[in-house]
This record gives sequence, C-alpha cells and structure tokens, in this order.
Amino acid sequence: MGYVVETIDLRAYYMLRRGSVKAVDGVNLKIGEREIVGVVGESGCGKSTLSRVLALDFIPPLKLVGGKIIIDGEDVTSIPISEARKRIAGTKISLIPQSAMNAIIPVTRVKDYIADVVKEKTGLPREKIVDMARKRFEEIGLPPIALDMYPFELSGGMRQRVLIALATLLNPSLLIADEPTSALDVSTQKMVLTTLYNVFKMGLTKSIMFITHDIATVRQIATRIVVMYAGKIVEDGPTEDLIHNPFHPYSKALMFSILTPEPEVRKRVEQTGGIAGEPPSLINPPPGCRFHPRCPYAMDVCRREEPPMIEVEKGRFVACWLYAKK
Amino acid sequence: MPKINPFIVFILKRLGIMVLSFFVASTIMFLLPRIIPGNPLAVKVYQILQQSASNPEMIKSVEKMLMDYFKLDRPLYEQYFDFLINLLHGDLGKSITYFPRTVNEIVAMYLPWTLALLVPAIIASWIVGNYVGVIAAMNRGKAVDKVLLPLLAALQGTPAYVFGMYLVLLAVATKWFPASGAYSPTAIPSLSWSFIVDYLHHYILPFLSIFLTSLGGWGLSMRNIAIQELSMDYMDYARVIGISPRKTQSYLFRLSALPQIVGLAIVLGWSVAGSIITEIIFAYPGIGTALWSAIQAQDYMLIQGYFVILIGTILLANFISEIIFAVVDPRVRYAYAGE
Amino acid sequence: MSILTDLFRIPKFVAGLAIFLTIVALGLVGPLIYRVSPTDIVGPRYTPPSPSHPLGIDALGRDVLAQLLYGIRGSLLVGAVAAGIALGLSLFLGTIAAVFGGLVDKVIMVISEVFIIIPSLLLMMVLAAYLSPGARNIWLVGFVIGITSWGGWARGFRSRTMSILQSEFIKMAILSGASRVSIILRDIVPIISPYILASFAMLFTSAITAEVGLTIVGVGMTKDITLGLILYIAQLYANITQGIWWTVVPPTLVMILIYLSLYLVAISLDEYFSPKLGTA
Repeated sequence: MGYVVETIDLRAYYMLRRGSVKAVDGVNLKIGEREIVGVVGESGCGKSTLSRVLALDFIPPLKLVGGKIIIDGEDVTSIPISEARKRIAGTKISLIPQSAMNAIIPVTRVKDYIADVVKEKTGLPREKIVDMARKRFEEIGLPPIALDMYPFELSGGMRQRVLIALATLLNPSLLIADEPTSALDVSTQKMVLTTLYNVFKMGLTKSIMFITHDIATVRQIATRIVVMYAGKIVEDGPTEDLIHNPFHPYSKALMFSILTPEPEVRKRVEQTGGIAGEPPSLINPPPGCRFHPRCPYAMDVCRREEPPMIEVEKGRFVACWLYAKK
Repeated sequence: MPKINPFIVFILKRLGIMVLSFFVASTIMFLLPRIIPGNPLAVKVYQILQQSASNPEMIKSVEKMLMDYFKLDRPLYEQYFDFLINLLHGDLGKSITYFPRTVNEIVAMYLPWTLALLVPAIIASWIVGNYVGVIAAMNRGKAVDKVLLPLLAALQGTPAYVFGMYLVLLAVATKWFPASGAYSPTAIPSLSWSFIVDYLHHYILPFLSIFLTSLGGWGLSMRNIAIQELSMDYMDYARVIGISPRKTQSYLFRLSALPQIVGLAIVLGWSVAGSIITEIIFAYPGIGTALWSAIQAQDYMLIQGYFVILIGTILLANFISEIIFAVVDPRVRYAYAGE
Repeated sequence: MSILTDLFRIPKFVAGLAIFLTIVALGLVGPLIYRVSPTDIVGPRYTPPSPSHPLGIDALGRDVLAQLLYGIRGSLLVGAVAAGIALGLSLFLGTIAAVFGGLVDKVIMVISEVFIIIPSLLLMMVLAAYLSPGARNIWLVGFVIGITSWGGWARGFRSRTMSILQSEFIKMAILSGASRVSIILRDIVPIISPYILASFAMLFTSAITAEVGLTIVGVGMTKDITLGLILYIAQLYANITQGIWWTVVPPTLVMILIYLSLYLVAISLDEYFSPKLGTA
C-alpha cells in the first residue's frame, strides 16, 4: 500500500546562536491513504514543527538537518526546497493554521484571496476557481455568499471552514490541521470538527494529520494516534487501543489526564502538564531515552541508550526499553 | 431616537475639529499684528501712506482709501467681524505693498509654480519610498536592509533645504545645472519647447532635494508598517499555503500602502509650508519665496493671507486623509458601517 | 545599574551617545579652547580655510570656526529650552488626560489636535514675524518652538499611560486608594521613562532644525549666534551660489550629526524597552 507521506529519520532543528533546538529529531512516520492521524503531546514537543516541516515551510532559524520526506512516493528532500515547495505546498499537502482568526489577508474578499492562491498553482482562470470554491463551500455547508465577504465579516468558525475549503480545493493528499479548534468556543469546535470529518469522508483529502494537545478532541475524529515527546515519536497505534491501553509511560500519564473523570484531579493534572517534572531542554536533550528524567520506571539502560521503536502488538509501536527486553 | 450612521458622526466630528482649528489659527493670525504693542499693522499702513503720497493733496484721498479698506480706526471686534465675513466669502483682503492688488491675485500668481514642483516630487518619492520600504522589510536584517536603513534615516533626518544647499554647491562647482530660479532670466514663460526644456533643466535640482529627503521618510515608515504586517498571522499563512514571494510582496504592498495613502494626503497638505526654505534656497518663484519677501517687506495682509491659505490646505488635507482612510480600508469602513 | 550596562552593550546606543556628547563638548568647551571672538573682524571676507583660520572667514570678515563653536552652544541651548518646555507640557497633559479621563481627557485631546493640525512652523513664523527683531533671543525662540511642538507627543504619552493603566498592579493601586497624582508620579512615569528620554531626544533635534528653518526664513534668531544664524548670513550674502562652501557645510553637517546621533539613541532606547518581537 502506498503512503501519502513517509518520513525517514527526519531531523529539523531551529538553529539558534545558543545552540540548535532539536524540535524534530529522528522522526519516522508513515501516513497511509484514508487515515486520520492525531499527533498529540505537550506544547513544545515538536508537533507543530513537524507540521511545518511536512508542509516544507522552512524559514530561518528552522532548518532541515537530515532525513527524508517522501510524498506520494516522491522523495521531495532530494530536490531543492523552494522547488519542492512550489509543487507540494497547498496542492499535495495543505495546512490549516493554528490561528484561523487572522489567517486570511484582511484587505481582499474571500473569493479574490482564494482565486489568487489557486491561480498561482494551477493557472486556471479566476471564474473557474471561484466556481470551484462555490461548489466546495456548498459541499462543506458554508453559505456561498461568504465568498463575497471580507474575512473580518465572518465569524471565527466560518473563517476556519473557509480555510478548510481553501486547503482542500485542489484535493490534497494530506491535510494538516494544527490545533484547528483551540481558539474556538465549544459549539464552534464541534462544527469545525464535523466539517473536517466530512471533508475526509467525501474524499476531498486522502488523509488528515490532526495536531493537538487535547486528546478528548482528537479521539472523536482520529483513526490512529501518534504520541510525540521531546522531538521524537514515542508511541503510535489505533486510537481507542492507545487511549485505553497506552504502553509508553509518557502516554500513560497523558491518557490518565483525560480518562480521570473527576474534574478536580483533571485540572490539577493538566496544570502540571500531566506529568511531574519539566519537559527537557531540546538544545541539550538528556542522553538515552529523553523521557527518563521524568519516568517512574527508568532503568540504567534508559539513561545510556535510546530505545528502538518496536511493534509490540499488530499496529502498535512503542519506543521504550520496558518492551524491548522481551 | 433614530440611529445615526456612525460613519456620518465620524465625519461630522472630524469636520468640527477642522473648523475649530481653522478658527483658532485664523484668529491668532488676525489678532497678533493688531494687539502687539505699537500695532505694527497700523504703523506699516501709515508708513506706506507717507512714502506713496509725496503730494500733500493726495495724502488725504489715499488715507481715506486705506482707512476705508483696513478700518484701523474702528473697534477691534468690528474689524474681526469683517475679517471673518470676508474670509467666509474667500476674500483674503488686499496687499499693503501691492495695494490695491488682492491677496488672492498674488497667491494665484505663485501657487502654480509651487504645485508644479511639489506634487510630482512628493508623489514620485511616495511611490519609490514605498517600494524601497517593502524591500527593506522583506529583507529585514539582511545586507540589503542594513544598507537601506541608515541611508533612509540619513535622508529623512536631513532637512530638504540642507540637501538643497549641497545640491546648489554641487551645481556651482560642476556647472551641470543652473543653481537658482525656475527658468533662465532671459526666458519668457510660455508653452514653447525651448522654455519647457529650460524649465526642466532648472527643475531637476529642487525636485531632487525634495524627492530625496521625502524618500527617506516614506521608506522608513513603509518599512515599519510592512514589518508589522509581516508579523501578522495572515502573512505567515500566505507563506505556508504556498503563495509565491512575489504575490506575497504585492499583498504586503497593498496592506502597508493603506496607512501610507493617509500619509500622502497629509504630506501633500504640509508640503507647501514645508518647502518654503527649499524655494528660498533655489530662488524658485513659488509661494515660499513670495512669503519670504512679504515677511521682509512686513506686508501683514499678505503674510496673513498666505498663512490662512497654508493652514487651510493642511487642514483640508488632514480631513481628506481621514476620509480616505475610512473609505480605503475595508476594516475601518466595516467598523463604522456595521453594528 | 544593569539597564545602563545593558544599554552600553548596544553599539547603536554607544555610537549615538558618543557623537552627541562630542558635539555637546564642542559647544561647551570649544569656545574656551579656541579663543577667537565670533564677532570680531579677523581678516578679509571669504578667506578660505587656512591654518590660522581652520574654517575660513565669512561674509562679514569673522572667523567661521569661532562662529561654529558658539553656534553649537546656542543651538544646543535652543534645543534644551524648547525640548524642555514641549516635554513638560506633553508629559503633563498626556498623563493627566489618560489618568483623569472624561471631560479633562476630551478637552486636552481637542487642544492637542488643534496644535497638531496647526503647523507649528507657521505659528512660530507668525509669532516671530510680529515680534521686534531685538526681542528674538535664544530664550524666546526656544520658548516659541517649545509651546508649539508638544501636541503629538502628548498623544503618545496618553496612549502609553492608557495601556499601563490596564495592567493589574495599577488597578490594585487604584482600588487601594492611591491618589491619581501619586499613580502618575510613582507608577507611570518610571515605567515610561525610556519613552520620555527618547521623546526628549527627538524633540531636541527637531527644535534645533526648527530654529535653523525659522532663522533662514528671517523670523528666527537675531541676537545670539546659532547654527541657524550662521546659515542665515550665508544665505543672505548668497554664499551658496558663489560656492563659498565653508560657511555652509560645517553648520549643516553638525545639524545632521545631531539628528543622526539622537536618532540612534532614541531608536536603541525604543528597541531595548519595547516588548521584543519574535517567535515563541
């Protein structure tokens, strides 16, 4: 089976004067067709950076240091980034940003903006593009009149859905949604989530990568969950299996926070970031397993050697020495 | 109570401030020469009276004419009232030194020269400055910016007249360009080809001095605005969604030029006042040079007339700029039109 | 103080301050070292620069270097007087408007708007044109420039104060019954002090430029020597069109250097104290 996106030992660092921040450090991720992959982790674990990297959005100080990104079977890291961006960004891989409220150029009407963006990529005439957009608006339940409006005339939920329509207009292989609901109120969150799911169901995008720190949200939509910690993937498996039976000690702590029914406890856990201790510095990450300073089960080997990714059960991968021993 | 369109309220408010400022300014200008100890206006009028009428017979009639006109024997409030009424009719009175020519006639003689110099220079510097500013902003921190930024700051900090002085020194040293006037002393203003060439030859240096110094201001403010715009989420997303840098630059230009349009209206209004010294340096026959000679001759009516016109232009430009801003920026328009 | 040592690490700030202090030193100490009277006739007019008269001789037979040193002194004094008056007015009115709000705020804002819209240069010209030439000394010109250039800065102080008033600790101070005046003096002024410094620098240099402009037009300085008066004489005797550069270039160069040095100081203060841009 072909993958829409495959990364091999992907490394992308922020090159600062103080040192390089290893935000994405040796990530191996495969996203197949017809998958909604939720990427979860604390803020600063590198999940947003991963989304930028997959969208080939390298702006200084972010730099691709090593590894490969294969999109629809083509190694895009073997060609110059700017060349790859021109072909990939917005067409094969589309990203919906964290802050939809302000993501559209405020001095253009929605249809002009969409036409500008799509015309550059496809060379289609403007009228054709606006027709396509109108159709797509109807498909995802947006009133077509929004096309003639300015962004600030739209509500937050509508803006987010305009972006979904724009991002899927060229039927991308992968739609990346980076915390698409975090700035919205609860009822609007539901609506945007539904829209995302419909977009997937209708086949307007082959797959979706959904990035969030909110497991309760991602659970409603994702088929698979990937847990990131300190720039690395620590666990990867089907949504419900992983939530109910997490393997990695970090995942356990993370899942505990959503499965605890008492709001009091949840609140306390969320406030402390779910787990005791601070996330590690990504400039000088701890040797061995990066979670070992906070891990209650840490062993000697954890401090020395990096754990390999192992398939513990079918489709369930974890990078932890507790499981490597057997 | 019926709801009034907030946009109209906004315009009325601005109009109110404009009228108030104009009233305050013209009142100051009316009062100063009349209340300062020794009443310089009256002294000046009598002085002219004595010089112009050597024939004792004539003195009486000229005095009567001047008195009738300037009404210096009447109470101050009456004079002030007359002044305001005339102002409302667009009548700025008559010059003392060129009596009985009206101030309006004299202004009409000089103003076209000033506008011919200023308007093209400022619009050209606006366009070029905006481009330079956007380029500097898009390359912030890189070599291009590191060269442009101090250059723009130096241009902005140098008053146009200092630039003018240097250009005149250069012209004198090299003899490439004439150093003063708007045309050769022998030429007669007409629309003939030779006159136009002569005029343009004289035009280059004053044009350059205004163009270059205002370039600095436009470039710097555009760079600031564009840098702010670049930090907005929508510029970030434009890049993420794969909009080409060229298209991004055109968006950036449009976004940042909005406030600059407002600036353009204001600067155009100010420019007549601001280029007085430049005109003097180049002995360019515009409003500035005319004002200078009126000050030298202490022609208070003429000075007062120039000031009223200059301030009127500035106020009007301010007012227009705010309306432009509200009309051009959909966000502002929306804020005033919507709920 | 750590802020000072931090500031002294910014090359722009150090360079600006060094140039400015050099100019100040020239104005203060220069006349004591170069002991030539700026008003005495020392030789034939328009003698070009030579070892005995390093900057040559002007249209009236006077030594240009002596003129320049006294001119710097005079211009600095005009700048200080004008900037002091304008800063005082704008700081006072701006903070009062923000803290008291309501009618006080509205009245101050309308007045400042009128002062912004009415071109200060013109107002100064009107005032100066009608005052007897003998009265136009440094203090008067500085005063006139000062009272006409506070409007824009008052608005700046007002908006800065407003944003500080939003912060939690000021709200607490108000709730705990602190008087408004004490809030202005004890809480707001210290916070905006870098902005105050920056505005003083900009007011200072624009006042020096304004004096030169006024004097060249013929309504400014008549009694004391300033950079403006040197240029006025140069313009009056058509030195520029005769190519007599040594009476024109030195004073204008000093003007530009004063502007650039204070501009550097002001922007480094602003960059240092305003919230840093950058990604999280």
